[in-house]
Amino acid sequence: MSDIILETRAVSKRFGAVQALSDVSFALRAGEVHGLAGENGAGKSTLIKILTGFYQPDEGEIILSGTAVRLDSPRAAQRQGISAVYQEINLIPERSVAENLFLGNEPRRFGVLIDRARMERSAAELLARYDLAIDPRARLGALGLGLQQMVSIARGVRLGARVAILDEPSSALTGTEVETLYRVVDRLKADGIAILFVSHRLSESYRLCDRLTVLRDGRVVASEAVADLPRAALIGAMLGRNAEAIHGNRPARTPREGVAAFEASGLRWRNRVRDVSFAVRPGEVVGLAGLLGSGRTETMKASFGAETKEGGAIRVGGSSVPSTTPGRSIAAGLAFLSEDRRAEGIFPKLSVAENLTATALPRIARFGFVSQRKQAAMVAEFTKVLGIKTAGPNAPITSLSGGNQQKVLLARCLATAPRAIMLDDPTRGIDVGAKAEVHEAINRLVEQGLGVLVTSSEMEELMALADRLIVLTEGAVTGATSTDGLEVQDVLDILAQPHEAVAHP
Amino acid sequence: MSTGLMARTGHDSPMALLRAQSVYVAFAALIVIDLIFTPGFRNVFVIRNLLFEAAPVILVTLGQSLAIGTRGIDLSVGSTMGLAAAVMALALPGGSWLAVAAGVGAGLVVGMINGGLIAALDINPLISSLALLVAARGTAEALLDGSRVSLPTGGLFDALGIGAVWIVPTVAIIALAIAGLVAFLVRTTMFGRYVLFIGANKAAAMIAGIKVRRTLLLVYAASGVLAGLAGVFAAARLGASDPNYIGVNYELDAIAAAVIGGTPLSGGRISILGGVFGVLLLQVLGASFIMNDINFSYAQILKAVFIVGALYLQRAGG
Amino acid sequence: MSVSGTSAAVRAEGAAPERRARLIALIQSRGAIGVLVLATIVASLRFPFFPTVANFENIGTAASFLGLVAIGQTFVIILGGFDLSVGSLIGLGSVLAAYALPYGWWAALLVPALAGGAVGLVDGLLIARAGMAPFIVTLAALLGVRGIALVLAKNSLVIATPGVFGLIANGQILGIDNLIWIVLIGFAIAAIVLNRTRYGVAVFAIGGNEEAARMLGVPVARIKVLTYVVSGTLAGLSGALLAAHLSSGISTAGQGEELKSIAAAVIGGVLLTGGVGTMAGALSGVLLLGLIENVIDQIGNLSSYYQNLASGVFLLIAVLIQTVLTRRRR
Repeated sequence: MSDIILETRAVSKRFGAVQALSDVSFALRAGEVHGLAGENGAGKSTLIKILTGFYQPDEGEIILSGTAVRLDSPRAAQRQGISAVYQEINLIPERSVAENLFLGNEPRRFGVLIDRARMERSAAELLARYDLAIDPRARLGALGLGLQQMVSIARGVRLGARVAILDEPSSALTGTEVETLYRVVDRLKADGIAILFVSHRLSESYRLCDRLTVLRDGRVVASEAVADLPRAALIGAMLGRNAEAIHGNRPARTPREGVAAFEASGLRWRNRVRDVSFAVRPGEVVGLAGLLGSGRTETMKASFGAETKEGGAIRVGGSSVPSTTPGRSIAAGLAFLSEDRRAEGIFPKLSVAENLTATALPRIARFGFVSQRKQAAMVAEFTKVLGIKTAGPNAPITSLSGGNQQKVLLARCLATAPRAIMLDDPTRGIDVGAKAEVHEAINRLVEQGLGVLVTSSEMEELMALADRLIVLTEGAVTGATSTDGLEVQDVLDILAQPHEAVAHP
Repeated sequence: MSTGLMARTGHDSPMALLRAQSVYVAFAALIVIDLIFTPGFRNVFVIRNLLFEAAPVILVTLGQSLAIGTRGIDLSVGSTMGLAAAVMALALPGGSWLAVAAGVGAGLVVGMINGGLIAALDINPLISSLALLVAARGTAEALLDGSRVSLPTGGLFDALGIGAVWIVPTVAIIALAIAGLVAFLVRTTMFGRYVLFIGANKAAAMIAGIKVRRTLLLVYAASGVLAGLAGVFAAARLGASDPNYIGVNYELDAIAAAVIGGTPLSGGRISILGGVFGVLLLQVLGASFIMNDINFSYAQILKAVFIVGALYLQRAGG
Repeated sequence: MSVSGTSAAVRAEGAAPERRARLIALIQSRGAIGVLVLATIVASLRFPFFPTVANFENIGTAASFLGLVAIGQTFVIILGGFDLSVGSLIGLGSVLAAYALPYGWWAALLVPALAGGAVGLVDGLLIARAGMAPFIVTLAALLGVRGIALVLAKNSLVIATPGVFGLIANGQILGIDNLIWIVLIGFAIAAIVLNRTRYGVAVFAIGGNEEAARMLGVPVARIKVLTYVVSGTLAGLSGALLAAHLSSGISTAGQGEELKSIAAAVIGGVLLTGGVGTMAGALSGVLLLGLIENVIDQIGNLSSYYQNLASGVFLLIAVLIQTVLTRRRR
């Protein structure tokens, strides 16, 4: 076994009430491609941010080539030879490839003037070494996303990187770009650089990685050589039984027959949602099962009109919603709870009442004037129904715990009295108690005839909530099954099947 | 009822509350100092004059507060005042009422263009309103050939220019009434909520199905209309439409007043009452310097310090 | 469903947009030069007074004060900021030059430059270190600096400029006005600094993607402060030269120049969103505005007030075109 270059020992990190990482130990070896897997909130990004100097661990240490190091800034991490490539390119798109490669230490003449000819020559050599057909004088932004990532990797290597962290490098790449990435990774390996690879595509992880480490709830739940970790075991580790998960007390229920509460047919959006069709009956919970990056969020957003769908039709309660925008979807009786509470959910600075009633204002207003009485009644009702713990309707939303913020957002969705609701990972990052309360609330609503489409990062949760599952893989529906008598393992098996039909070239 | 007009200060920590109230404290302190030290400050004519000057600034501050509430800005208001006054002068042959309507209408047009650029084309408000600042002033000057046009005496223009109820000028009553109206709208209507939603989190507002574009268009249109009316007031007070003079640098005063009054540039919060007191504070400050025979330019320097200070405090408050 | 077909299609589409993107980039960066050439030809054909050496010198001299300020403004806009204080700094600079002249012509240049640099330093520190919005900080500086200028000199200060100081602004070298030399050399140096030094590349990087620039190790705060200092210094210097040219220090000089300098830069293809722009473009913008003023001035039956309208409309059109072009490129 080759030398360990980077190692974390018992690293822990807390954010307020959330334990993002606990006791994480893992090792990266020279010439090794090490995959990091895990669902939303598993702690992958926290770990990467610790390794790249954005966060400091609360406990534990980071060992680089045998010595404990402090990575107290991104620049410190870079100086120590840890280079990261993110999905969001951290380069300057308007400038040339060569400038991006050399920014900050351009070769100079007379100690002042940048020697462009020399810089471009060196850049060309560097790119050639990785077999990249890129003109060093080209504007970086003119390259495809994949090549931009390669430039980012090349920059890291030029600065003497010993560790390259590739964070979801392939999720937006075209087929040829993926091939280029594989080639570059092989070359890095040959150069003895350790690579930490984060990808949501299992086939890629298996193709590239020598070793896989799986995080869940901030802990390492598996760390094996790829040969010892078959797909099913990997997915099981990512999604499987969670000690804290709620067990399936799903009430027996019969969905109402007749017209679907909500229906999508032939939905398409970029290459992330491919011809997805499904129907949700009133009084039914349908789970959208799939890994992160399977298109589950995009399916919901395209259905709702938060992204402009490129094809397909949406029907709510039998009547079609011709061109979907969030406003029209809401008016038609559809509601959507985003997985990203901070960016697409709460209105910071505003009160619980203002946040809760945001979409339902037309219902409590006359001639555009918001009735304080009706608002108070609405807030009181949902505070009680969902058990929202708040100092009062006028308390700022940011004073609430994550779980209670989420309940306010759920109330916001319900306040428009929708026929169907889409909940994208509704219990992400909230504590167990709040989780159970959200589940109860969903079950009650379904009894009243609401149709629910739900996703989750935890298979246990999805099984506990849904009557039926629709399995999504890389943007396409690859299976559908009732959850009656279904074991978690069965679903994991469906997810683990290689899908020839949708496999990436 | 003071919290009624002062939209949302109740959510804050004690420190933030103190910061939000600082404009009233500063105003009160300044008044006390003036009453003691400034000769002739008690004179009713001084107060009346001060309110005459304040009325148009209050109007543009209202529009500015709405724009800032959406996390935007409207730099065009001063030039829009000038344009409104110029258009009003051209429309004089049609009678004074028509002229005033034309002036306000000119403001609406500028506001709609600005709002259209921002809402439909997604241009940064800073940039679009900056372009309109230059263009509207240029149009105003071109329309009147850069010269001052006297307004007829008597009738409507006297009512606006010199009319007063005891010490309170008619225009100040109108401006304060509109301020009350805007505060009411911000507090009680869907429109007001939408403004705050957009300022607090635009992405979340989109997902929540809020009509973001329409709201933005309305905000900048309203700012334009208010600036148009402010231009009419300023011209009436001057007794003439002067395209080189009317409204110059008013956008600065409006931004300063709004910010000093507790409307943060980061959006999502509007304090109309604070903005009104911000205007009064700046006006009294300027008057104090003049009445104490201190070079007025010092007031300008102090105003700059106030703006930076207020912003620095807001920044510290997060 | 085969995906390889999709990606092949994506690749085939890829080439044409890139060609279009390059064309659009060319229009954005060089469009102003084209318009300037075109406008010069049209004006020369249309107005007999226009195409004379003396008139071109007039345009050049008149535009030189704006030109110096536009150099700094261009740096600041490419950085992703705004400097609204430059107009007031021209006023302050001209007043300070008048005060400093008795100590020597060098003092009359140095003091305004230093004062401008000091204001830029304060602006830059508030923006880069305290994280305040550039437009509001420089707006306050606009007010404050004008106030200081007015405190220093309520009316204009007449100065005698027979010596070196006057010669700098009013003399000629090789038959061309010194002011024109100064502004041309200024633009040439600025272009080299912008494109051939680490500082210049860092300015582009910060304006292009500030977060990335910080990650890539660019000392963002230091570069920002330095850039506002450069802008302030040039504005102060411009004021000094104006005083030398007009033989008086005028505290109200330079009003509106901040907007004109922004307009000139934007017309010249410098994107207000930062990260893109050329000095040649900014110079064309300055000259285009100068040309319009010159023509309007001499037509006679047109009020000089059409100048502002013209620059406003030009700015509006430039912003619109830039926005549309930038969106097309994506």
